[in-house]
Amino acid sequence: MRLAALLNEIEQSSGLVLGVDLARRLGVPPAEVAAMLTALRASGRLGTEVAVAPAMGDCSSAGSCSMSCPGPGECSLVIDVSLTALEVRRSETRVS
Amino acid sequence: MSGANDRRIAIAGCPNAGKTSLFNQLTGAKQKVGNWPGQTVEQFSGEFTVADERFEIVDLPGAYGLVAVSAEEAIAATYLAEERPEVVVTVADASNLAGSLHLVAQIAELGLRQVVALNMVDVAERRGIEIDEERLSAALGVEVVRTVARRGVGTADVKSAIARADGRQSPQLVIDYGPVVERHIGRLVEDILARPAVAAVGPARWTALQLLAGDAAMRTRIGALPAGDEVLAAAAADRDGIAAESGFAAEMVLAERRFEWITRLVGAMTGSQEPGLLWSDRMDRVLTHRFFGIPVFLGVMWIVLRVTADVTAPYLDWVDATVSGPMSRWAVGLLGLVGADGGWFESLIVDGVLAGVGAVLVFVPVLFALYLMLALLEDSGYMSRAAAVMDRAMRAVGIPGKAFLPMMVGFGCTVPAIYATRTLDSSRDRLLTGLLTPFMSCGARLPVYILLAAVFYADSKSMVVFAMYLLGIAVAVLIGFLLSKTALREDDPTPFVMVLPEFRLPNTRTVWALVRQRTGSFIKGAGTTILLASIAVWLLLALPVTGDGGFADTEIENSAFGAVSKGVAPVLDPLGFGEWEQSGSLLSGFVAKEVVVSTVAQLYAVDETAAEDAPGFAADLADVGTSFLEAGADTLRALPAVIGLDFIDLEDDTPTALQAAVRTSFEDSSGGRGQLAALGFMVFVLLYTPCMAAVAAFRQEFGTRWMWVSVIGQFAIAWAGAFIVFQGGRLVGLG
Repeated sequence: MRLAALLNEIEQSSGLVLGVDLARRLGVPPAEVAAMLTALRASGRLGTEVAVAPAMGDCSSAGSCSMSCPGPGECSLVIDVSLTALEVRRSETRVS
Repeated sequence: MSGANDRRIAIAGCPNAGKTSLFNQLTGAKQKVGNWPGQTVEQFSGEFTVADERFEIVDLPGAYGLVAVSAEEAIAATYLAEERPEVVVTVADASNLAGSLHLVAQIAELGLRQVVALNMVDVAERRGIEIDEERLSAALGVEVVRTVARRGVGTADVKSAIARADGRQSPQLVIDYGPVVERHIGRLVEDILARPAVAAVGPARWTALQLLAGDAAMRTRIGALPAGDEVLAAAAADRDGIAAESGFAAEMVLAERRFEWITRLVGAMTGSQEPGLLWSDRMDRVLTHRFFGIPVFLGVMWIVLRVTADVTAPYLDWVDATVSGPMSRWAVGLLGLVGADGGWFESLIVDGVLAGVGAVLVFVPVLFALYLMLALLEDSGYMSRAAAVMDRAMRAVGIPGKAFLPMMVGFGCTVPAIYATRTLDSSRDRLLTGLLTPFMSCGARLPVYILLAAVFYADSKSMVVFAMYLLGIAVAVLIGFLLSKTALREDDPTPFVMVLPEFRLPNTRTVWALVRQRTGSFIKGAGTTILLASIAVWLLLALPVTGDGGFADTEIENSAFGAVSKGVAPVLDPLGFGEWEQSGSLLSGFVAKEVVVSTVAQLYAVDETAAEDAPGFAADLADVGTSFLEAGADTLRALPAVIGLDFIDLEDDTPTALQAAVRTSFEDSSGGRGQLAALGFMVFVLLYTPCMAAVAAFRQEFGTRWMWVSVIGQFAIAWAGAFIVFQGGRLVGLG
């Protein structure tokens, strides 16, 4: 159960862990970890958050941006971190 | 657009597999946009014709699989299961075949006719991945077509494959999930087939698999059917049975078996092994390394700020000379032509608008360079590495893992950074991160640092600016540590994995678009917020409250602005900048940080242009052009300085009237310790409330009470920081 081992490794880390770190810990190439992460994602055990342009809500009510605000997700001042965060989703029925 | 007899085709795929590119290639201009029923998610559809047969095609939202996690995946899964299109074109990323096959396999298990577009084969080939599509086609029972959708390669083949698949018998893929799971699947299939309403949902094996995987959408759908509750109860019993017999949750066992099946398939299909370590992975070993990561990050920041603060100096001088010289003279000349010179209106235009807005526009080259460097880092993929490095440092002191995202955004602007806290899960994490983001030095503070560093730290300008950025991070980490140990104790953190994008050469178009948008936003701000603030400051400066001067004809210290600023000045006196002009500029900085610079210009340099001789329009124009070319040449000669090769001193040591006035003011207010006072002033600007917009955003997100905690807290920290710098510096004999 390689996926279970990977999930367990993620859950053992407090907060964020990098794919490259998981690869190092499990002793497998990063590409293999990426494939396993996709498998967990496709099975619904990991949720996705793309941290490219955070939802900003109604910026126009915030003040000086009101005259030139291009709208949520398109603010040119947002620094694009371009990464995907896969978050562990809890399963009530999980045994181990 | 589509007729009743059109065949319905759906296009599916994982995010970033090239689904939209293929959709665009297939439909060309024949597209329409709407919303999915009951959703805010956009629905794109279009049509195309093959051999006189017309097909309507729907672009499904990106999905990794059919066990829906996001709203977009739920739409894709529901559409495929309920609408059962004639053919599904599934776009698979050939460079990550294993990642794409989960969706392909699940659609095949659903029993839909499928064409697999093996996309980005060019990228796969460059990585040495050879895929035998004929064997893949035979294993999946579907037609596989090689495409490079971005360039339109293979589009015609996809159309032909769709035409061939249409009407053909649809084979249902059966993956062997092992004896335990198969026994429970068999039992659940019997339960489903015994209830006609549930059996009509789709292939019974597919329904059983979705229920065992815990798919919420399927549970809801079955629960609404007659006898659906009985099937749900049976499915729950089977899930428990699998968990008890295997020791793992049912969905984990299903995922594991499907993963093994895909791994074996990919191993058999690819002529070469999956790559071990890509060069991007090798770089990550250094860039995200526990020990090397932080020095590399600091080195990158140093280069960014060196380019920003030093290399742009010739252009900064050029804009400054142009705005304060020829442009001001032309404005006065124009006013003279229309008979509006010499009065309060001329004062408003020259002393208010040109001095204020012009002083901010001077920093356009600086912001341009900063945004260029940031865009290069973003598009290369380094920013996510920087985020990871920052995360490690912050997690070590109890700040939530995902706090680094809003904090990185805070380097650009605090307002979206505060809204970005919505990406955090708990209210505690959101609030804590919201309280910390204002300490990250936004772009608007940069002009203040540059102005003062040029006056007091001309030889180490970039070092001082660099120190400000580092101090902002350090204060955020310190405050975060204190809060997480006291008022905002840490919850049990949600574990998550960060997937870094591969490194790549920055794309010129993307970089230019980012730089243009951001610099444009800064210039727009100068034309709106800064313009209004400059006029407001001018009005307050023109309005006499003491003395015997009239409107626009009063000593500025007798003006309304002077009176308010004098009231605040004693609070700042222990910090070494207790002159009313200094407190006044900090007060105006509540509007936006660039206003500090425009106010300083209005307060100190009101007579700068009037004193100069007018050489004439043609001579001015020629001078502007010549000095622009000289600035370009000087910038090129300054580039080696970024890596420490200072061949030539390009700094113009002659201070401008504004710089001289600023120096005198700080020397006077600090008892001859101008350098220390200026450093304290920069620390104050870094740490006090970023702007009114940020305060409004904070109130919107966290309420009025926390807004006041934030504003007062930031002021107290800023005051304490500047006090430590100035008084501490004095104690140890600096400045």
